[in-house]
Amino acid sequence: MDFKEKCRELGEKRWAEAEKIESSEDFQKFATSTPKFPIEFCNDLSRCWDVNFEYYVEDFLSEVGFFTDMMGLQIKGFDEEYIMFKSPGDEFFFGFWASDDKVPATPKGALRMMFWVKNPVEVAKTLTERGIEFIDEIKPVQDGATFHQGKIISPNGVVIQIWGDTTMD
Amino acid sequence: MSDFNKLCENFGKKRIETVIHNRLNPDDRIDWWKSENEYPFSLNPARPFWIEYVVKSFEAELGFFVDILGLIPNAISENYAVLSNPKNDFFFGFWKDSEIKRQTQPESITIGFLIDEIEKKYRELEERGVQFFHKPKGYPKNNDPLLVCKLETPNKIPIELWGMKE
Repeated sequence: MDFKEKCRELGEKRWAEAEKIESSEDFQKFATSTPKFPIEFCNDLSRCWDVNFEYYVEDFLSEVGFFTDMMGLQIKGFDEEYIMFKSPGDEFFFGFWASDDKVPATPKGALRMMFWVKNPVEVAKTLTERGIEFIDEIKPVQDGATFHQGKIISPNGVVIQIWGDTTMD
Repeated sequence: MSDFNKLCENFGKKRIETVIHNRLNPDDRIDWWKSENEYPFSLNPARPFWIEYVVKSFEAELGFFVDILGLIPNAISENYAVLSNPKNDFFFGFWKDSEIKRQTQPESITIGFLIDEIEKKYRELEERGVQFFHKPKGYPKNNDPLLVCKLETPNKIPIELWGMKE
């Protein structure tokens, strides 16, 4: 059995267990019945970064301007064809490369970013005032719901979903 | 190019120009990191931010991350999963390929982990059956203290482990 087949078998077994979940206790038991996660993050680098997701863009400068000056993210590191961003509170990190002949741009829509925020309506207002267009207006997920969601898109086609409950502190 | 993209491009150009200015004029540095606009999000600590991609073999990706790497399902359905590490330092998710959500080309994204004890963890993962493209090696030069090794998920999404030499 090759490695992919082994993983598929494990996934099928895991999914069969997921289908039996009937309560939050079942889910907790299910969710924590995993082997030890072996990775300790690099504390000696003063939380330089822990996990970083990278993608590739055709229009590097537009993406830089969007995340830096429209979204207000902080730059963690960069060179001429690469940039890494982080949130001010270090909750997350991601980066992108300028695409080239060897690595084409990540296709539009192939990658999504999700922000779960406490202030979805306020965020939508702020971003709209900055000129960011919502492809799906921020609105309650159904009539009367306090949970809101909406979508914007980066200049290179990364879909960014903003969602959150307006009643959260 | 749309007006909005043009606006973004101008911001990006200005920022790169600032970086070049600082490189050429070390005694007249400008705050290159200062954004035109403030960061507007107040994140939910339960799951603040995550990225999503789309895979052909959903079960294999699920088995790999949960039962080989030991990540924890934060949410799961028959075609979608969000995973985290036990300390909730990070989250990411993937969808099963469908008519609406097409597979993410494997070479188009990379997941990187910056970790402690990279050589030990490399051996631990290898014992679990993880196949690496190469052992941890110095970056950018072979004898450098920053090490990197590479593997891929069953759907061929590249994963890089980074860490300092022990």
